[in-house]
Amino acid sequence: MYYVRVVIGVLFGVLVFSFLDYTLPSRETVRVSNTYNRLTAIPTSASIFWAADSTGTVENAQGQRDVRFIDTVRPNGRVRVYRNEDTGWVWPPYFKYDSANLQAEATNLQSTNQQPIWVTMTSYGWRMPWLSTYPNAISINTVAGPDERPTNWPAMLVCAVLLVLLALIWRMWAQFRQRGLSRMNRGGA
Amino acid sequence: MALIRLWLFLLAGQLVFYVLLRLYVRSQQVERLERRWDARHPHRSGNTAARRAFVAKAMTGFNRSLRARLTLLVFVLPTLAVLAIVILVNWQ
Repeated sequence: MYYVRVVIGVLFGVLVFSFLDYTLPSRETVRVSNTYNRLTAIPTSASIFWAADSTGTVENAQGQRDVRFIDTVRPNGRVRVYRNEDTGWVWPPYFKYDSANLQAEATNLQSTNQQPIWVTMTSYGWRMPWLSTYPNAISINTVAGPDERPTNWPAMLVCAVLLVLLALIWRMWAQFRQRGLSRMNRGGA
Repeated sequence: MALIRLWLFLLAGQLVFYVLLRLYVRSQQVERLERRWDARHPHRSGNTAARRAFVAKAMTGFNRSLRARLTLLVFVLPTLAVLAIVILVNWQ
């Protein structure tokens, strides 16, 4: 019984961590190498890793969607491909409506290997090639060089707020255990 | 439609949290008053009728106190957070 509880606890921890890792913004210093649109078939198995239907995305009769992509190269030479889709008022709560503007900015910052323009790309999500999922780009900003890594303060702020909420709920539960239960046992009032 | 759905979910969550937070703040205040009574009347401490009367009397104006009114922020702060995210994400 003890080991069952340990396994369930570890699985729950991994689940919470993965959820936060997927949803919270992450920042990466990259160089934009290409921007384009591509008709993309969204497999139903991976549809939760793409924009929800109610954000105003349009699909054709074959179920394909015209998705904006941003190809980038990291300072170590490995590539990273972003999708650029609106999230609208649906999960995750980024309320992003400016994907056309973001695509224009990325195209403007496109650069070659010889004359690189380094940018920091804020995004959420995972690149999983076997499921064809891409991180969704949120914003783009120029940085001085490939070694500059701006602080990811939005994710820190969200984590801090979540910790405060957790502490508050902990306190509320403790107060209920201490007083609410005994009051119920006494029979009201 | 998506905006209405978001608003409904937000409102439902806020209502549940408001009720729980309200109960918590009230319970804390009652506990504080009971401690005060016990400190003032060491020979009559414990759950007596006199202490219950004192707590009931002291709690009458609680809904108008600053502490109780601050719990209404539950309905304000999430909306402000949504507005801040909308501005930060969509601002060039």
